[in-house]
Amino acid sequence: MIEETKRGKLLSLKAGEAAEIASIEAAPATAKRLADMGFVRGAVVRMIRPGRPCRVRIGATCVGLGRALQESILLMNQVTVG
Amino acid sequence: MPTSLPVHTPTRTRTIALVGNPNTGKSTLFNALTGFRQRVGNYPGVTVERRSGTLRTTNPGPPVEVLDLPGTYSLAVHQADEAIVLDVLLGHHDNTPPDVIVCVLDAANLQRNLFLTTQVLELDRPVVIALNMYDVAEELGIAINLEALEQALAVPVVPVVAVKQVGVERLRNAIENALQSAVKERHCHAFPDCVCAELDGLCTTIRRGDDGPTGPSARAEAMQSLLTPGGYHETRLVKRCGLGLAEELTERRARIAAAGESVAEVEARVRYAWIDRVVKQVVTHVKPPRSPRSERADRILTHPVAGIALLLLLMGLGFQVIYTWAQPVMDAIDGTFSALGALLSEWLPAGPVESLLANGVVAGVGAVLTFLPQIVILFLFIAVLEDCGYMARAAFLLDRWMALLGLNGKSFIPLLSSYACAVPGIMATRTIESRRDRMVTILIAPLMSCSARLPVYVLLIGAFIPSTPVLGRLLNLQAVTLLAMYLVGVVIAIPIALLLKKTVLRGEPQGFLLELPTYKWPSPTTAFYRAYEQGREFAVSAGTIIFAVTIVVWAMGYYPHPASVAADFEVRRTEVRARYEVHAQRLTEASGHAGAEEAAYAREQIANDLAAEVSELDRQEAGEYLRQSVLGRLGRRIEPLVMPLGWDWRIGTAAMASFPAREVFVATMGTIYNLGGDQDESSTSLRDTLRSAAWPDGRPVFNVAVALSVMVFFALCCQCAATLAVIKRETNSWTWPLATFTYMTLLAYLGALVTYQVASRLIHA
Repeated sequence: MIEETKRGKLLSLKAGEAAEIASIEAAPATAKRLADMGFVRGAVVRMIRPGRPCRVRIGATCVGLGRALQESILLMNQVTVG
Repeated sequence: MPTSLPVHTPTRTRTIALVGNPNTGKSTLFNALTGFRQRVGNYPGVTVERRSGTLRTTNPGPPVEVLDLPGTYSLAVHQADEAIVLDVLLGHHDNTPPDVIVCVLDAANLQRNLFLTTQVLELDRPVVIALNMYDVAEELGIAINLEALEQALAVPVVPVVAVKQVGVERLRNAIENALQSAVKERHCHAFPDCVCAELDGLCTTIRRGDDGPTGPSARAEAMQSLLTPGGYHETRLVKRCGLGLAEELTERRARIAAAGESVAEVEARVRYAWIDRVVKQVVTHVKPPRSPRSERADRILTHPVAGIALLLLLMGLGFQVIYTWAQPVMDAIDGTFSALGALLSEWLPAGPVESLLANGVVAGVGAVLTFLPQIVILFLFIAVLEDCGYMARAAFLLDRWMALLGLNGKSFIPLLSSYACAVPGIMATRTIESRRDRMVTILIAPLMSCSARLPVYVLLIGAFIPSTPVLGRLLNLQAVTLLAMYLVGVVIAIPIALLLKKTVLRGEPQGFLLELPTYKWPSPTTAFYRAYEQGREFAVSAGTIIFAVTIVVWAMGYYPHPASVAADFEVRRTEVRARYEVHAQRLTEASGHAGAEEAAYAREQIANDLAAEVSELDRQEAGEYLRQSVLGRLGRRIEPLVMPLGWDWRIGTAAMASFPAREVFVATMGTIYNLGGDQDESSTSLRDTLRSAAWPDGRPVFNVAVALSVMVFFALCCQCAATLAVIKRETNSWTWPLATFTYMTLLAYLGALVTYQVASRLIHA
């Protein structure tokens, strides 16, 4: 189980931090768009530069995400990646 | 999954379709496969480019058509224009599905690229995988076991480097083999039972409800309808099978959710789980992964301050280049056509044929062609920026600011281009995926003050705005007025954009989600093709409409061309000639008294005066014809309508005549004020004539308020057949150009009305 304290939104990640995705809470169309691009439960997302929009890395893809989408991506355990 | 053998009738042209994520070099590969034999059109009813070409091959046999489908991350789509990919793959578009599907993958980003591939594989059509940018992957230390990948996907995999034409021959052979061979059994994704059950049930309902496609492709369509709520496929399926299906879909989704699955996420989760296993098996990292070069470059290039400064600098340079490079070519085209028109006028006997050819056809073709240099250069510029990956960064940087207008970062460049000319600007909106954002951008782009408005501004500012210094000596009132004219469009565009977003083009805000692709060197061939295509397309399809409109307006300004006018003026010319003859006669008689030199001088004087008077009559004749023409009568008919703007019928007529192009206004003003049609904005005589033009009661027609009113009208109106033709082409319907013309004309009228009423009270009170 995920500890409640470790749960956060993508919005709260600082530059260089990475975490696993817990779930996406958005309108179905938006959620599907994110999921199909690789934002699925368990995938590791790394914040390159926070902001509106921010830059994140998911797998080998660098993506720009607006604020609304950053709020809709919920995270679980933070991970350290090299 | 059943194994089926593709059936070929040798007489039919076989098609192969290229699918892939955006930024996989799909278009470059398409160019490599087809060469120059390409055709660009539109899919019926939607605003998506249909790019097709003939496969370059040494093999004999019937030609193979290659179709370049728009880049997409998934077959799940939310809008009609994205739906083309699945529609084509299912055979909804060309009646038959493509014979071979080529999946173009970025070798350095297998994981995400394989998602679309797994969806495509389920369609059970012959598939070939092109692992593009293979060299980049190797450079990054990514080693791919091709045999293992082929085995996992059960389709041929060919590594290619499309930019360098590496592997293209092998890919072509693989495609030709796939055209002949059977589809091997493929991996079947293990979707949770609840999803499979609902999908089976849905397929049964659909089969009962219509006679559409069956088999794997129908199942794929059903899956996208079920798992993408509110998406395009749901809407279309409901349209086909009746409203009962909408309810059924809602119920089925509720049951999936009740079983603990997320409708939106389940497809991605299952597919990515399988993809992760495959990638682990086939990909080994030879070098330790490091922070990619693109990420380091982005530290500066997407920096909120430095990045924007660099972007503005780049745009400034780009537009400088467009102006400086295009201008001489445009001038040359303009000059050539003017000279041609003048030659025709000279050669041909005066009459409708001469006028049609010189003022209608040649002027019309010239007007179309002068846009070409700007279009070609702008698209070279855009294609290079897009191909190297910078365009996504520009959109990323500007998103925050464009969001204030309810728009998307990608609207910036089209709007900026529209300052030069709305035609290439509107064509550049093709990079905006969101249909609503694209439509809003298209609708407000003509409000940006394009270069064709400048002649109108220059003429009226020069004639009526005093050059009083403003802000000390820094600026003068003329410059301030010009600046105001340039700003009025943008200022009005903001509320218009917000209004459109809240009314006709309302919809869920999509949220900014944009891949920032790895930077790469742009391919010159891709840029060249793009510019060439855009130029050709414009000249052919927009050209015909502009041309037709020019002819119609010419005819309205020419006919009925009553013979009585000619007769009347012939009488007056004869009178004048007779008067001068008498004059000359007297001079000859009297010449005995004066010196020969003086007599010659006097004769010359008389000849000059005669010529001046005759050409004055010619101009009056031209003015009289225009006055009596359909256009002139219409102008006098609408005078009550334009009086509140401070205009007389002549301004109204010139405004109507300038429907094909704003710059025609200046020339028409010249004709209508009996100056001849060849007036330009800097001609002092036209300025003086405008200054002395009077109402029947002797009041001057023009004053500062009227000049401002005319300028505001031209700043806001859509008097440009080229723009309307391009909107028609880009949106594939007459609704949008009509809507644009109507709203902008209303806006222009209201703007001119308010300007005149306010200014005349403030200035002339």
